[in-house]
Formats: sequence, structure tokens, C-alpha cells
Amino acid sequence: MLFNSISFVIFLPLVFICYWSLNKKSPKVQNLFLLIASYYFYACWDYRFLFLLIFSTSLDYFTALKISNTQNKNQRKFWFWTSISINLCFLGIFKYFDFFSTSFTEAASHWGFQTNPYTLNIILPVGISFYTFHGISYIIDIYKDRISAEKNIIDYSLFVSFFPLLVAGPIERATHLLPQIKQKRTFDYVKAVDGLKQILWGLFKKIVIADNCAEYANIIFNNSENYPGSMLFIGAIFFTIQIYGDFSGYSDIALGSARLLGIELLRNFSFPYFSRDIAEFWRRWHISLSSWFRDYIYIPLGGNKGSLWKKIRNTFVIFIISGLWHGANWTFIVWGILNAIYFLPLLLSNTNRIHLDVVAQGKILPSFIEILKMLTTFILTVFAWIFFRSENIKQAFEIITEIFSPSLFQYPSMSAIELSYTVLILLFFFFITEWIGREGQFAIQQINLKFNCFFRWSFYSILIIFIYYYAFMDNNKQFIYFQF
Amino acid sequence: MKKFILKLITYAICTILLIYSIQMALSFKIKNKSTNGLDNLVTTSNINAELLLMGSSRCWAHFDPHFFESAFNIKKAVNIGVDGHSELSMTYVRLLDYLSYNKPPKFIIINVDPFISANSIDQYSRMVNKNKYARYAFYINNRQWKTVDYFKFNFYEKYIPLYSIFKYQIFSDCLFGNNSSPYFQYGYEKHDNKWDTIQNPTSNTTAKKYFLKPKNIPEIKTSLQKIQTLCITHGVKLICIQTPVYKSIYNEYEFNLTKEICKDLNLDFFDLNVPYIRNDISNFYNSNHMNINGILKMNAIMLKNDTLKNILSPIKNGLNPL
Repeated sequence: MLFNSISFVIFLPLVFICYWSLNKKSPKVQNLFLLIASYYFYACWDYRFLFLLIFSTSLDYFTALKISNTQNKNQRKFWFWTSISINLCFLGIFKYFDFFSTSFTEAASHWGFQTNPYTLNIILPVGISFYTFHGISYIIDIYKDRISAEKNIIDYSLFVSFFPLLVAGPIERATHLLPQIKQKRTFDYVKAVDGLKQILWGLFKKIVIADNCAEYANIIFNNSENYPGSMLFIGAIFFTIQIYGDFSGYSDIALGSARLLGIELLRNFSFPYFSRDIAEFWRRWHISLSSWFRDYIYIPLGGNKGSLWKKIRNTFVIFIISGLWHGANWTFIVWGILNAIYFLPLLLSNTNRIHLDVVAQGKILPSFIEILKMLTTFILTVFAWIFFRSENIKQAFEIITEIFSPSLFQYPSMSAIELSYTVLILLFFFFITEWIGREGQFAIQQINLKFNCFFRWSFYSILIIFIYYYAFMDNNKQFIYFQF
Repeated sequence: MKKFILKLITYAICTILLIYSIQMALSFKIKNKSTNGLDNLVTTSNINAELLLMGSSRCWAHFDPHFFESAFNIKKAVNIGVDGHSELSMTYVRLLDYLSYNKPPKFIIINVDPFISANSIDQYSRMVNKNKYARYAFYINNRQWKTVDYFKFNFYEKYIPLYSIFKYQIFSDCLFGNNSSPYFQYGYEKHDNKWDTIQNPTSNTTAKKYFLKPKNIPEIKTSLQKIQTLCITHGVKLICIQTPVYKSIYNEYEFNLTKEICKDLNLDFFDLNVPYIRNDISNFYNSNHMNINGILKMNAIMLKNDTLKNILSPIKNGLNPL
């Protein structure tokens, strides 16, 4: 079931009504209902993989209890590594086996050993990277005695499988979500309205912005050899907007849906394209994943403490793993390395934490320097996204070579991709709205305070009509992050 | 909670009303208008023609109503052929529609050739030119519902306002479309262009794959008979005409099959697929459609055909068409 499908439009209100009508009972009943709804939501995609999800959940639940119930170091270690290994094994088999097998064969053939790659060719279960990370972080937290093991299996299962975050995050922490699951939720009008607005803006970002940009990005990237540098650069910009609209749109729908049910999820995006340097970008992009890597990999490795070599190593490790997390392809790894290269100078010069506030806070427009910094960061990310979007490294390098050729100055023929003026206007509107709302949790959160009811409702209606228009025109495009 | 639900319902009603109003405004805008020859449903109502020309694109592009009016002393001739639809079931529903809103015509000419079939092979999914009829899909009223229903629009397309208009990307067509072209008042589209053999080489004979198969003859006969029965019930004389194709896709056996079918059903059949036209590439704009050059030659043949003349101009010749 996709967030941008008619089934979800029916599913969410039904869950909302049933869920709040169970409010008078204990949260246990609500949790059980939410768990059933979540499993149904997941089963709509492929019921067979539901068993994998249940198995993974049960494994982490029981090993966490085992770790928690013993003080014997060896036993704790045994259960900890059992859980971690099985989790990583699943991830490895479903996500990385074919990649490593093919890469190994290629490397072997390079050294003169001819072998045929053994591949599994199995479908990647949707959301596996997300729910596995939920489980791993939970087990690490238990092992490190940061939290105590959850005894109620329903509550724990809901933490892993809560439908808004199940298939593409945000990657939650037990310390943040489990207490909310355990406590009694009461309906909050302001929260619910906020949730609806966030869903609306998320749908707009996904259906109107991302899906339209995807059309153009796909045309250009799929025929990259036929386009001059100028068009390839425009294609990369379209993909840059697409991936933001797609993923942050998904996150907004997830956060909004959870908020409707009285649950606050971790924020995942904070207007990353208004960042003034790469460090700030990574504090604002896919926040739940970045902080996960920071807390569970970067800091245990030593973080930015220690020798220069260690700092460099840790930075590369975290960015390469981040790239690999996105998919089993060398393009993602190079994307990670490139981001590490962008980030290192800031880390080494100790300037990676100078932009902790919101750009041009309290002002309408940014200063010239801020514009320049934002533009530089944006262009750097555009180049990194070229690797992310390309089919292989060769294509990425061909695109970049063409961009850095004189054809960059060739007048781009927009008619070749049938660029619509309506889309350009919508993109302009989108960026303006994001800029105006950059101090809120999401762009249209503050709109409540600025307009009266008529204008506010008209504004929402315009968004709805555009969503309606593009949703029906293009039938259900999948979210990019479902593949991760 | 109550306040939230009440506000949400109020807002939802307002939004639905807004969307419904846009749909209604568009429906009003396109009422009785045809934006092109493909969706000329408007020509099927309140026409009261004496001669109705029906069939596929080979009717739509080949039969000029003005020619029939002047050549055979017909008071009013109208072409309601449907581009992309050689299915006899389509012709049948279109005739039913026509008869619901008009007096029965005296004559119906239907193009019969090896491209005909009883039903669409792709009836439930992507029918040819389905988008052109999508503007009629929402809440199909009494007008032309049979034809529109033929396209099997789904529940959402029929009952959710603006759904079909957005889905089939015809919003601007509905907003800016008009009925300015004189051709479309009579449903016929004249093609002046010559065959672009570079883009569409003469060696391309894919049209042949749509030829009727002998195993389908019984169902084709049944469908044709259904049309024949409907005509007889309404006192209409049904005539079948086979128009020319270019020699590259001509097949004597196939083009004789249609003759046999009509003969078995005791239908008047005129084969205008003569070598004089089909061997000359200048008469076509593609392998199975003639341009104006070919049409003029075909019209000249019809003019010389006494049997056809006797059927279509009975008063002048003192004969009863039925």
C-alpha cells in the first residue's frame, strides 16, 4: 500500500476512527489494533515477507530479554552477537549478496580467474533496511544498558512495525518511541491539524514536485549520451529536487499520519537545500539515518577524537556505510566517498558546526554571502546526486565529463524534454513556500497563524487540486526510498 | 475530537463541492462540442440524417458525406465512423445511440473489410483513443451512454469528478477545445497529405496482422447480423462497402472473405478495392488509408456504379430501396 494511493486514503481515516474510538480502553488495546493495522499495511505489499518481519521482530525481542535477564558477560555477548549477526545476515542475503558475488567475480576475472557469479535474484523485502536498523539499535541500547528490555511483545512489535515508519522510516529509537507507545494517548486537536497539514504538504511534495521532476530527470538520465552538458546539469538539478520531494514528502506523510494518531516520530528533514555547508546539509538530510550512524558507528569508532588519521578514517567509514546502506551498487559507494571528501575539510578545520541555526533566522531574505554559501552547497550536492542516480560509475563520469565540457554553455533545448511551464511555476511556488516556512517543522506548519480561515482553506484547496490533478494523471509512482 | 471531525467534514464537503463545480463547469463547456473527429459523439444526436456512414477509421477517413449528398441526391449524410475501432460491436452501440436520438436514416453504409472484428481484443484495458472519449465518462447521462459505456470506464472514472479528465490528460482539451472545423460537423476527416514513405515505409505490412482470421468468421457474422437486424427493425437499408488498401497489404483471399460473409448474410456488398486505385501509391497516406486523391477516384467509381445508384437514389430511378 503506497502513501499516494487511493487504498491509503481509505485506510488512514478508518484506522484513525477505530483507533480513537478505542481511546477509552487502555493503550494496550490501541496498540494491538495499531499492530494489526500495520501488519495489514505491510501485507498489502507482499504478505510472504510479513513472516520475515515477524521473525526479525521476535528474534530481537527474545534476544533482548536474554541479554537483559543475565549479568553474565559471555552470555550477554553471545545473545548480542547472535541477534546482530542474524539481522545483518538477512540484510546481507536480501540486499547485498548479489552485489558482492558479482563484484567478486568481476575482480577475479580482472586477475585472470574466470568464474560465473552465483546470484540469488530475490526480491528485496520492502523496508528491510529500516526495520533491521530499528532492531539493531534496540539490541545495542539493551546491551549497553541504556534502556531495559521491553517485556510486552505487542508494544515492541509496534515499535518495529508502526505502519507510518515501517517501509521507509524515519529510523526510530526505542528511547524515543517506546515510551510513547506505552503511555495513554489523548486526542490533541492542534496536533491532529498539524498532522493533516503535514500529510498534505508531503503529498504535494511527492505527487506534484517529485513525480514531475522525475519525468524530466528520467528522460535526461536514460538518454544521457544524447544531451549536452547544459541539459545534463539541468537533469541533475531535476533529480536533486526529485529525491528531496520524494523522500521528504514520504517522511512528511509518515510523520503526519503518526501525529494524527498522537505519536511523534523523529524528524527526518529540515530544509536541507538551504544549508550553508555540507556539514549543515547532513544535519538536515535524512536526520534519523545520519544520527543513527553517528550514535552507533561514528562515536563508537572514536568520532572526531583522536589522531588525524582516525578522524579521516571514521569520516570515510561512516559515509561509505551510508552509501552502501542506500543500495548495493558502486554508485552509492562513490556517492558516499564524495560526501566524505566534501565533509573532511570542514571537520579538519573544525568548522563543521558553525551553522547550527536556521539560515536568515527572523529575516525575509538571506544575505549575499548566505546565498553564495547555499548555492555552493546545493551545487556540490547536485554533483553527488549524479552518482546516486546514474546506472553505473561509467555513466556518472560520462555525465560529469560532459558537464565540464564547452557544451555546458550550449543553450538547453527545453522542448526536447517537453518541459511544462506549469511545472516551473509549481517548482518556484514550492521553493518559495519552503523558504517562508523554513523555521517550522515543515513548510506550511505556520500558515495557520498567518492567514484567516478563508485564505487558509483556499490555500489547502489549491494544493489538493494540484495533488488531485497529478495523482490521477500519473498512476502511483513508487517512492524512491522503498528500494532501500 | 468532535470539533476536529466536524471541521474536517465541513472542509471535505467544501472541497468536494469545489471539485464537482469544476467538473460541472467543464461539462458545460464541452457540451455539444467536438474537439476533433475522434470524439464526434455530438454528431450522433439530433442529426436526423438520411444516410449514415459507419465503421472504423476507414469509414471516417474515406466517406465524404458531401459527396454522397450531391452524387446520390441525399438530403443529409453524416459520417460517424470511429477512428481506431474496427469492431462491429462498436458500430452496433454507436448505431443504438444514434437511433435513440434521431429518426432512423433511410440508408446506412458500413465499411466492411478484413480489418473488422466482432469485439475488441483489448476491450478492458487500453482501448484505442479511449482518452478521446474520457470527457464523457463522468456520470454518463442518457446521451450517448452506450458508446461511452463501450469503453469500459471504471468506477472512479465514472463517479469521481475530474478523475477521468485528469487521468486521460484532457483538461486543456476540455478547457480550450472548440468545434470550429467544418469537417467535424459531418464526422469526416479529409487527408490531403501524401504517404511519408521514409517515416512509414511501404515495406511495413504490420496492418496485415489485424486481418480477420477464418476461425473468427462465425462471430463476425453474428455481429454483422445483429446490426442487420437492428436496421431491418427500423426500416433502414444496410449497405456494405469495401474500400481500397495499398497493394503491399492486399491479399485476394482475405478481401474475398468479406464478400463471402456479406453474401451469406444477403447484404448488398460493393468492393471498391480495385487495382486501379490500390496499385498507385499517390492515392494513399498509409497502407490502409487513402488521401483525397484516392478518395476522388473511389467516388468516381461509386458514381458509375448503377446498382449503388439504384439503391441510394431510388426515387430518381423509381425503385424501392427496401
